[in-house]
Amino acid sequence: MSSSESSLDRVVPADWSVTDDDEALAALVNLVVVLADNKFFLGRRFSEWLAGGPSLESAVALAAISQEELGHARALYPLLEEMPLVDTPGPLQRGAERERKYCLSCLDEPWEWWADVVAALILVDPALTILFRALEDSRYDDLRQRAARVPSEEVFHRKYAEGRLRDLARTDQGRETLQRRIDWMLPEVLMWFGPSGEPGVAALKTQGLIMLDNDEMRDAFQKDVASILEENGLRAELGELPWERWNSLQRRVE
Amino acid sequence: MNATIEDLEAALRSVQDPEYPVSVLDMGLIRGLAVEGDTAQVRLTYTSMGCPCKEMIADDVRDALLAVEGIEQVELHEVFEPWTHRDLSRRARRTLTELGVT
Repeated sequence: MSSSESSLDRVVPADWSVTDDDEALAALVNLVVVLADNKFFLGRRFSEWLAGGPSLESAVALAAISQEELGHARALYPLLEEMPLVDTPGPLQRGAERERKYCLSCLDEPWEWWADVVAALILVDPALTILFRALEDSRYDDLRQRAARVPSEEVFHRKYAEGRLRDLARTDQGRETLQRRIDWMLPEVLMWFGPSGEPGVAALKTQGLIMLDNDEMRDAFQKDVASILEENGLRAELGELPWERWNSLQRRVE
Repeated sequence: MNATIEDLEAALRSVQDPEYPVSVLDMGLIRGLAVEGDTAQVRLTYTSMGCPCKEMIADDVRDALLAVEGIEQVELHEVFEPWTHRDLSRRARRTLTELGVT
């Protein structure tokens, strides 16, 4: 996570004992807001497809999935208020409360295609889950408790995602459309884990606040999604990732 | 006179889940109760982190406990512990089965 907000303006930490390392604290604030904002906008984007999906069942499923994504975001935002920093980003309820968003750029605008929904279900949601899993043994109890619950709620999302991916990839036209949306989302999702050796994440790992570094999380994600893509004739081929367009604070491609 | 844990449990038997006629105790949402002076402390989880009835349940729990003699304050702590159908009491399972919920 980014620690580029270097001029830390700490408030007096009354009973805050998670870390006294400025780099780790900045990275922790960034980690929480990045997770929360991505969950928030993922839930919003899914909810916009309640009326546009291919079936009544997809509407019901997306209603449940959206509700859970938004619930995960709502569980995380209060952590920002307890962190001993002045001006931590505030919670989102409608999405326009603050200008700076800490979400992937592919979640910025409503999606045009059902294939976007399926691509996000199979790429974005599992990427976030990898990061939650890396926090399941965090020394930061309040975050650990939340992180430990999220993956169990994501099991159903994943089953639904794999089913819809198979449906779409069954025809040449569906598979080609989905491939285009994967080609659009995948580079940014891979970059979202951050560059190798990122100092903020290294500080978090040293302090026992996260268990995996960026490369370990990226590898786990690639292993997680590779087989389902391959089984359905989809490629995860990538050229050079566009790190020159990477915004390390908001963890997104500009 | 100080309230007891049994007093709190009795009060919570009247607080039903908003969706089913099953108490929050039988639903397995209450993960801990304590009394400290005139304060009731409750550890609470929900069936899902995105449960849309969280505030309603919390309000009902708070109101029920404030009605217990000797309780003037209620501290609710959401603990984010996982919930599964295995957390349902036998009474809850019987009720839900009768309603056709499997």
